[in-house]
Amino acid sequence: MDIKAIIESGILEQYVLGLLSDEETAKVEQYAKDHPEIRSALNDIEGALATVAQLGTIPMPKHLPSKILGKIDELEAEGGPNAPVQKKTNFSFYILLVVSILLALLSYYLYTQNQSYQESLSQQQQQYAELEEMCGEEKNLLQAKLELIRTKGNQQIILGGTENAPEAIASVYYNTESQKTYFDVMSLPDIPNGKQYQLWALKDGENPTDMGVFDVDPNSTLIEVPFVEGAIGFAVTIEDEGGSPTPTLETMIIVGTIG
Amino acid sequence: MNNESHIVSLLQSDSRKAVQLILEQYGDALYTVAVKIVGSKEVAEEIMQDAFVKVWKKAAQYDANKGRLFTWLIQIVRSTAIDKVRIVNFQRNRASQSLDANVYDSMKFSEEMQIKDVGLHKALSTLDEKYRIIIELLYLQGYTQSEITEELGIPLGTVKSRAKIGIRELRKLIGESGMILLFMSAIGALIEKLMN
Repeated sequence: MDIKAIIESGILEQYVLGLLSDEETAKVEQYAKDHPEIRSALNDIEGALATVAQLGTIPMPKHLPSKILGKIDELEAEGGPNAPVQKKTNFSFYILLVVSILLALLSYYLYTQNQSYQESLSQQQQQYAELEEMCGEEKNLLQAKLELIRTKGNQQIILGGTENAPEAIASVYYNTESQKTYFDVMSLPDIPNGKQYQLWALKDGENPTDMGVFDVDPNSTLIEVPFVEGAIGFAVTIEDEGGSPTPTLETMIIVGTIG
Repeated sequence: MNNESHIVSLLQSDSRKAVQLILEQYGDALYTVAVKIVGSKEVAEEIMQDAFVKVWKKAAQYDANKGRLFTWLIQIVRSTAIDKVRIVNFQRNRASQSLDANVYDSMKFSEEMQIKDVGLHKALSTLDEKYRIIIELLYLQGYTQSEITEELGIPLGTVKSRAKIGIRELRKLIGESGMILLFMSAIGALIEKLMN
């Protein structure tokens, strides 16, 4: 390729003036790339024309540069052509990621919180049901006890504490009409292992009659015991497990007489 | 020019800053091109805005191997202005009626012309009128060669050869006035400094 001929042809001037087709433009760019002389000639042409363009110019309005830069700032804020676009996307992506993680953690926390509330709620419901049931039982028991106490012909004998246990107290409901006896433990001290309380009926001029051994049951305070004809009083002693044929007077806890 | 290569590197890294420097360096020249093409200062402002948004958007696409920065800029301004003229169906004859006046004005010793331009202007004023018009129309007013053919009633081949010869003459004149130019711009810079 004759470099001189290219320079002489006028194609370089046409190139700088932007008058060439895409194909011719690409050709000139290739020439310029391959031949420094052509590059240099183009440079001179461009320089000469640029000089003309900068002569006798009309000054642009003073506000125009800031107007243009303002417009660019606006566009840049919306996401410019430079790297910030990518950065911005990444940035908001990370924010979203962090927010998602926080939301997931929060949801999990609320879920487990809810679970534990549910659990404690059902526990409390159960407890409530149990209490309700217990109250019902208690009420029935008290009702039954009241009815027993109110039975015609009942005599209440208070058994008071002896020196062994001054605070101890119990009642016996003795009914000669219905031939029934009920024993109501109100307060008795705990006793050592291997020992049991034993209830006795006291009779005028006779040895006390065994009415059976019992353990202190806090849930059931009113128990039916054997009816003993002609009793004048009742007492409770502490005996070896299984009971004793005769009371051990030294261990007497409570005692009370009729009338 | 050192300033040019600085702007070119900014086009890649900070296109907003590049636009700012381009406006300082070439703003008036590009605005003048826009005014000449659309024939209205208001519309030229719009053209400048649109063109510089393009510059900012295409900043990374500018390839210094394909041509100088100013050539790229003036092409963007020209095509933006010509598109606008087509959109608003501006009549080219409006510009052509005042064609001679325009050409005369642009090459005339203008009041705003800087001192450093004086020597160059003198040199260029010796350029033959028939070349000047072609350069003005093609380069500064974005005419196509066939438009000039119609407008001036000269054959396409003549338009092409006058463009070539005109630019060649221009290069010669600038080369001759180069030393004066250098001297004048040094004085111009000095005076500008003193005045500030």
